[in-house]
Amino acid sequence: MSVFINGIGAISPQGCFPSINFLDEIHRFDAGPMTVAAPKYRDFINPVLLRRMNKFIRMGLASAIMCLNDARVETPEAIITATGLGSVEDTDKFLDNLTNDQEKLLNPTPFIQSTHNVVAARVAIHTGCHDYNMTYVHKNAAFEQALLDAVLKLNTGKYSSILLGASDEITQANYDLKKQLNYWKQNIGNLELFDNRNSPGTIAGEGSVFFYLSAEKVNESYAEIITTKTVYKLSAGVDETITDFLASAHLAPADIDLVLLGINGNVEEDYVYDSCMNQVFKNSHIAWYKHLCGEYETASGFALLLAAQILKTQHIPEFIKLQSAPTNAVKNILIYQQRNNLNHCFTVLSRC
Amino acid sequence: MPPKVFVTGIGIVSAIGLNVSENFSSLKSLKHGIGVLKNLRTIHSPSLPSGEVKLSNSELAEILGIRIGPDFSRTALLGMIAAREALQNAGIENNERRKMGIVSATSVGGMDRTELLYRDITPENQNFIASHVCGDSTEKIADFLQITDFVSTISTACSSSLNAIMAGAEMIKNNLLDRVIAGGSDALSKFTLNGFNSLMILDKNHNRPFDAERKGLNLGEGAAYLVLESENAVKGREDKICCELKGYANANDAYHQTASSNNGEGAFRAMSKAIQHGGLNISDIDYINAHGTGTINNDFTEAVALNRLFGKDLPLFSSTKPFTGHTLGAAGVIESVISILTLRNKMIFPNLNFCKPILEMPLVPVTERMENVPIKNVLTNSFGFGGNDSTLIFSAV
Amino acid sequence: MPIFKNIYMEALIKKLKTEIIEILNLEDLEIDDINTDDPLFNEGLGLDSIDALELIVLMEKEYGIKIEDPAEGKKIFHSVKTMAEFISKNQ
Repeated sequence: MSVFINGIGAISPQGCFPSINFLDEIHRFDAGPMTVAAPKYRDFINPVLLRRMNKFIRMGLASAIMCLNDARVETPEAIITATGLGSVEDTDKFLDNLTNDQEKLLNPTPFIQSTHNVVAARVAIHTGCHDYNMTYVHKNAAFEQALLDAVLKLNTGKYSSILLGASDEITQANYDLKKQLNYWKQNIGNLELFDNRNSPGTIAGEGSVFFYLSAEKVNESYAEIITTKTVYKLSAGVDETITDFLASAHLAPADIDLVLLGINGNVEEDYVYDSCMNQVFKNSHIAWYKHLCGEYETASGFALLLAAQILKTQHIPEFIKLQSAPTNAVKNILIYQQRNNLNHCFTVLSRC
Repeated sequence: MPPKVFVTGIGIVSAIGLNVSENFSSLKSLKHGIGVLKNLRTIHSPSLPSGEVKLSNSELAEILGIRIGPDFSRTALLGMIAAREALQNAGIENNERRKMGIVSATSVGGMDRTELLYRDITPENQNFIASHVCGDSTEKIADFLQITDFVSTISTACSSSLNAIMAGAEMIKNNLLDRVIAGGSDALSKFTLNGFNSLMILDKNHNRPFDAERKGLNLGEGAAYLVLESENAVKGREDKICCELKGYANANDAYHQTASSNNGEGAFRAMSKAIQHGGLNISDIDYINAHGTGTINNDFTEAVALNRLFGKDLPLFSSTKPFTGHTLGAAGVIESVISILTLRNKMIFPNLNFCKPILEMPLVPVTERMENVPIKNVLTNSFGFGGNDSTLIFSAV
Repeated sequence: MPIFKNIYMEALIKKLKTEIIEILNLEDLEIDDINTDDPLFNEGLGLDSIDALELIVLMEKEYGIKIEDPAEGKKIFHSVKTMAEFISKNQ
């Protein structure tokens, strides 16, 4: 059974998708965090409901609505979301309140909005979707595991469409906390990130991307999802793992026209991609994406959006390319990302 | 034809015991674990009885035989103990664990560490920050058990661990994995205790599910895991089979962030779809381990849903939360283990503290321990915030 | 005496409306948009059970009045008027 991406909605540091100027040029950030260019949320969400929603929920719900609009669908059959940190702002707010007020007279609203499934829940309420509803939260593998779930559901034939989302937010407080722990590069912007790869640290980002996946191909389909896999710890080398993974989809490295890597500028993590860059895919286009969206747990959602758009338009933006190949046509794209040599995630999508 | 999924090992740690045998013994002798909080330091300790695991973190570490730093949350420690027991019971050796999967659920993650340390970060303790996220406890468990292949974490509030079991089963039914250890863990924390208190749904006394005078829930903590195996993986080890995971379903109430709808729509759908998924009829269900938290809202809406689905053919049912407390992310799997104990021992554990049925929907649960009950199929529910409603069915083989 | 009571109630009602707008994040509303006698829940402002809990916190934090049972809150929070009357009776 095939799986097609028939709608996409996104709120990212590069603006919203779909929109006319999306990625015509890169939005520059002189330093982190790379925060989203938010839309007017009232255009998507009833102001009476909006009042209680924190940024995480607004981003999630609005991008889901954008996606459904893009797919021209009102109610999805099932909703699967992924997030690494959930609602950071409300978790911190409730925690601060309970510490400051010594556990007395606490407002319930931040607590109820701090659960990780809050976006999936709100989308269900908004669309009246009573069916399957799930939230994956395993760090940088959360999105690919949510995607795998969606693919399996569609493959059984019990569902003909699934709404799939990936959302994470960054708050100033959380950014500052991690700054103390040297998670981020100091005073390096997104456009300088690649040139500063020889030091530790990356750049923080955030965003929400939703996909409408369907078993049915339509004229407006962006791409076809072929397969996806996550491996916690590699039992073989990167090259062998990738080759075996591709073989399971009857593909070889030579069939991959573009490799989109989760390079994030952190010398302590990027070395894992070296063999991809220098050996396995020496004849493919190689590109990266985290200078567009920043580093966050579900950033591979943004990578999938980028890959889908490339397959549909057959255009690879210059500013993501790390290596060019002689072929112009892009038929198969591999997305590969990992953090700290753990949770290796691979996804293949094809032109449809 | 998707393979059948069998349960070959169970492990549990809760307010009523540190392993399967202790939990069973407590259930059998009607010994509950709800009392004054001793481990968690909070102003609420005398007034909000809870189901605490009766050991400190260092005592838990001793049981595990490990040394721990600030980055070991209580959630991880509880999970490691329960997961280890499940694997040992399934008789799966170290060298066979690499290619296993683990799907674990949690709602609180490492919050028990974070809330203590975040105002007091030092170079010595700062690695607790990495253990805050949900995925960390799963990785700690995976590393402890030497599982390296598929490692996943799910968080859907109170239905989390039933969903983790479902996700593990789906990996097996789709032939992606032969063996998965699935379940969840949640430790008590000031965050959740105060969170539920701000919602005014905690009982200052012992919780009384489905009772007309119920006042709310008691929180609990704990962890439990099931080892799930495909029918192929189990060949030659059939003596390890506890039961079959016969059916399951996940639905959403799509009504309100915390309250359930008056007609129990999500609960009704989860139960009816699970029965259908298992190829069963309503009349095949012999016992239901209800979600039954003791809150005004949940118990009423769950009763409505039970009535809608079963009518006058309502099977025997009880909530075991008066024994363990509401263990949030771990509730589904803890109650799954209790359901499996019911199935294995043909014994139904009562719904403690029940006196009078709910006026608007008068259903009467089992109030005395029942033995030698012919039970083939047990259904268990977990309903969570966000309208996430899940149901599993275990069947004797 | 009634004159003073009226002035007091008017001021209290105005204060309550400001507080309701703030703690329930009713960003778009002004004091004049909230009718003193209109129902706050279901119709009117369409507040829900979580808002009721927030109002219970407000009662205790701002006015020192503890409401133990959320069901009791329903009657008290029927409208701004009933809230003001409850406060003036219990302070």
